Amino acid sequence: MFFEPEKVGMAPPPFKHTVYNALVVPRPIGWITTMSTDGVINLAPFSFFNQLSPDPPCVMYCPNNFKPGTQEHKDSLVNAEATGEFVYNMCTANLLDQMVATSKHSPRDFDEMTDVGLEAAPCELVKPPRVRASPVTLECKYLQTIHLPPSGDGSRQSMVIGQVVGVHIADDVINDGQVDMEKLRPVSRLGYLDYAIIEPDQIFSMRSPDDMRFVSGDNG
Amino acid sequence: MYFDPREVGMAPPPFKYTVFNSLVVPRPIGWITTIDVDGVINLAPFSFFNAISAEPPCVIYCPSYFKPGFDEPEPSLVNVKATGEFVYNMCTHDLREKMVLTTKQSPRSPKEFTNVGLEVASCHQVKPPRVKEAPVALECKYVQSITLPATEDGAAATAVIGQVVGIHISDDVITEDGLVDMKNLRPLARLGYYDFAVIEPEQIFSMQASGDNRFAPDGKG
Repeated sequence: MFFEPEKVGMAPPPFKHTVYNALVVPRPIGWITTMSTDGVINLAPFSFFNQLSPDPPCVMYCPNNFKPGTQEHKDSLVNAEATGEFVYNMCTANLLDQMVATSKHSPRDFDEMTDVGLEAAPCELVKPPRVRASPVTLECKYLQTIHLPPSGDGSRQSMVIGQVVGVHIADDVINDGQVDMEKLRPVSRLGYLDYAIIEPDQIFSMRSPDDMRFVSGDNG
Repeated sequence: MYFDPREVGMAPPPFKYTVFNSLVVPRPIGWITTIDVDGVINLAPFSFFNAISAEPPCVIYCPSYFKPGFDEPEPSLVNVKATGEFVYNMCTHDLREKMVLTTKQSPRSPKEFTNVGLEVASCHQVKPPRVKEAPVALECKYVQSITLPATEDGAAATAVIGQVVGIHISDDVITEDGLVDMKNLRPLARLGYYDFAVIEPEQIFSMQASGDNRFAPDGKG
């Protein structure tokens, strides 16, 4: 089928719900820590999130829309813009329940990390803490907010870009000079309420014949 | 371990290669069609790609570095700036080998599609064609590009944002219940190094935060 969202929206018949989140899958989960100017920690997952460039390393996440039922911007947007810092934590299979629990919308003075029983660990270069149990954490300095086309309800659609200034990788996912993809078991976001964990038996390698970046002897 | 990439780069000991691509996984694959002003089609995969907003629907992809005045930007950037249009095609397990053949390291050809054995289908709102075999294709109009911070030698990557104006969904991935059938898609994902993963039906599960009723049977979501 074909449809134009400007004319019929994102749930034309036969669809019961918006299909948009089902159309780009699987999405990585940016589990983002920020801190308010008052020192309140915020932790929230975003699947409109990804890397943008490797050198200098940059990532983005999109704290779009108001908090549901309010006219307030999301804490992850307000905090990053006010303090210039955020932290990405990788969500893995063992952290799944806590990650989903932090997607609940909460008031500004609410510390999600403590609420869901996660231990915070300090970062080296930025104030927001990292999730200690996460195997990969990226400390980020805010670069800019890109204002995306507005949605019509007065809320901001925003892409926050940051530069990675500190990298934490748990020693137990490092193997033979590489990050061990089979040990990570990262969680990804699909459409609707669906998630998937990347398990070792689904991972395979492929490269075009002239892509020598990770061939032994090359400096990558 | 901890390191500052500004001091030691992205492959400090004990790493043999850059670790950057391993640190945000799995990444979706934006298999992007563009067309140049002469009508030559380009098709290339990008894993620095994602949806970025739902209303209006926007997506992003990041063509590689080039040094202004020294390097030629890649066709996926030149074309979108010249024509204002691009198309996202979902790469599934069935299409994985053909997708890899369209990576930028492959020789360029005006017949990027037919050379790798893909069939072209026309779009409704934009000129670049879609990959006929892809179960999902998004027709996009260019909104803006963002020049990302440059490397020490002056090369910079670019992020391209587009708004989705047309949506193709193959009828055989739509369930009788009015859902896109996640278990039928088998989408491909990019991991670190040369690694990929396919999302198989048996790994998919549902989770709901308390208070999130968006996809309840009678919900409006």
